[in-house]
Amino acid sequence: MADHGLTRRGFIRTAGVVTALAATGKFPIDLFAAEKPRLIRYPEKTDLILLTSRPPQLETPQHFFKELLTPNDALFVRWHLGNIPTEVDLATWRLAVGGNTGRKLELSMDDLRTRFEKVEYTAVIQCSGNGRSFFDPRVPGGQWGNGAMGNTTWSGPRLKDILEMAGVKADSHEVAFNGLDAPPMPKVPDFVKTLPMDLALDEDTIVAYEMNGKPLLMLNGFPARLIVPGWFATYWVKALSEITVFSTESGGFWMKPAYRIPDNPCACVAPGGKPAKTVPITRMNTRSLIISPEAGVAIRRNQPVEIMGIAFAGGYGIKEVVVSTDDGKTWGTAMLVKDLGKYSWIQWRYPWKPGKTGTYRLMAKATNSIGESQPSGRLWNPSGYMWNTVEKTEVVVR
Amino acid sequence: MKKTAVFAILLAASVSANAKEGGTVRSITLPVVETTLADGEGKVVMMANCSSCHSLDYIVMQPKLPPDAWTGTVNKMRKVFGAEISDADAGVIASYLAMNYGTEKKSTAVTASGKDPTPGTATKLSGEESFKRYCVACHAGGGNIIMPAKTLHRKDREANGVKTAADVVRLLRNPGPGMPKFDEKSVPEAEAKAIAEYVIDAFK
Repeated sequence: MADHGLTRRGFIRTAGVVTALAATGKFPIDLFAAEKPRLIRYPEKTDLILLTSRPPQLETPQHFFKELLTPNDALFVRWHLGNIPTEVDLATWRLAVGGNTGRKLELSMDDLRTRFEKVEYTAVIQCSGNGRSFFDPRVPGGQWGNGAMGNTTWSGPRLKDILEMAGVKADSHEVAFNGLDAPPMPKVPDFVKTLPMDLALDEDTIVAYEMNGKPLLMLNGFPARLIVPGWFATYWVKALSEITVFSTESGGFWMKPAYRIPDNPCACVAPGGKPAKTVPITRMNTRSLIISPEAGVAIRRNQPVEIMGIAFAGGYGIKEVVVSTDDGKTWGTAMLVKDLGKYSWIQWRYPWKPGKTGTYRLMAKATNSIGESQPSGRLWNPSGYMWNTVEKTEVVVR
Repeated sequence: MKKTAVFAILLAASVSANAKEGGTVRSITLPVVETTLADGEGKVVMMANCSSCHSLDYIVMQPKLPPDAWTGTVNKMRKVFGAEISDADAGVIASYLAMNYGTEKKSTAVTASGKDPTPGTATKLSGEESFKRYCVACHAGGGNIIMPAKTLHRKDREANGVKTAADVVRLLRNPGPGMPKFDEKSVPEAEAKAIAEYVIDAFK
């Protein structure tokens, strides 16, 4: 009985945490409302929404997306295996490169910094399951809202240059990436991801050792992580330790059966259904979000309001964002303000002056430069991946 | 009875970040976050098995799922992720999850295919058998996968003030950060004592 609901001990401790957070002015106090985000501060990070603690999955609160670049300490955290690296000594850390190559490399951080050209660009990082909690019917897995994403400037050498230094062979089929995270039990499969050769040798695929000009944070993959701009972050292996080139398909649990989507253009099936055939998840689809005003805020009649948001696509840049303030009946074109290249998200603005009181549903829909847009209806898949349905933000005009 | 929200408890000591400055070493200390789950049949079996690989907030986070989805999730943990959970325990765990975190009302939720081993039948187990049921997932060979420095071996144990069987029982009832609580309802006194005596005897 005592464990149901709020025990006194639980109340006191929870209240303490919430009070501390409330002092920062970022957190609405409503102890008794269900499913309020629980904020937590992990090492090197600011207050983030706690999904799980071991391994950590931490979500970025929406207000951080008002900024073009997501601050490092606010970037989301997502690990798969219980044993995540908590200590790295750069004196001994090496990135091993081998397999179907002419020679083996053991690269130190100094090697990465001095023996290769440093490439830098801004790219959206987004978890495959971002928005999973919006699926209907609900699906099991990390129950992310929209905060499993961020916009970050990444820098480091090209993967291609590293592979060429190792003498990658012409008959190579794919490249596998392993990090310092380890399974909690012997039979649990290690987290390894693979990329096809064309992407591994792409000019824009890099091994980043900096985020927004600073060394990577431990929870975001210190000392180096793979960056595959335009693709979902499941490939962006953190705390890289091993790069292995294969001449055949190497398989591996995290390529199959994990992280797969229905093999059709919408990556969807009838709600509750099972796909006949699946393929690995790859490139990000087009998304847009209204960042301000936030849902539920009250707005005054006849006062000008600026609707502000972001939009991004899988490396193709955003051509257009349209906004509706009447639940999708009519649409107007938003002004595209600023981005930092084709992999970055773009900020958009849309001026609005509501003339009548009442509840309004605001919507935004983006289209990328190759014509890919967002569905108005719900697209469903059993793993809750690639959520990009046009979202509705309800605000009240008084 | 309507179940209400479950709260994670943040331990005050865990909030401080401590990335070391300078040198070639970068390190952090992860916080331990405690989650209280609903009381119910099979809770201890669930805690002992599930929390060896992941924190229990993984369960609290999920939407209410139908019984077959919970059974599917437990099977995924065993067959896909390699969790070593016995058939009997898997049934107990799936039943606990469906009853307490499911779409069904408690009275209509599936019951375990295997018998719930707690308490009753479990008291017949030897200390070693009970240890294997509840403790071995995290404490195989007397180790500690959550807090590697706090092993069950005498030197570590006594350094942490756990000297007698009674101390071990006290720890089961009122554990430190990271360890699930084994209360009298789930592990009766006699069984707890047997586990404690086994621990003192086995890990010298």
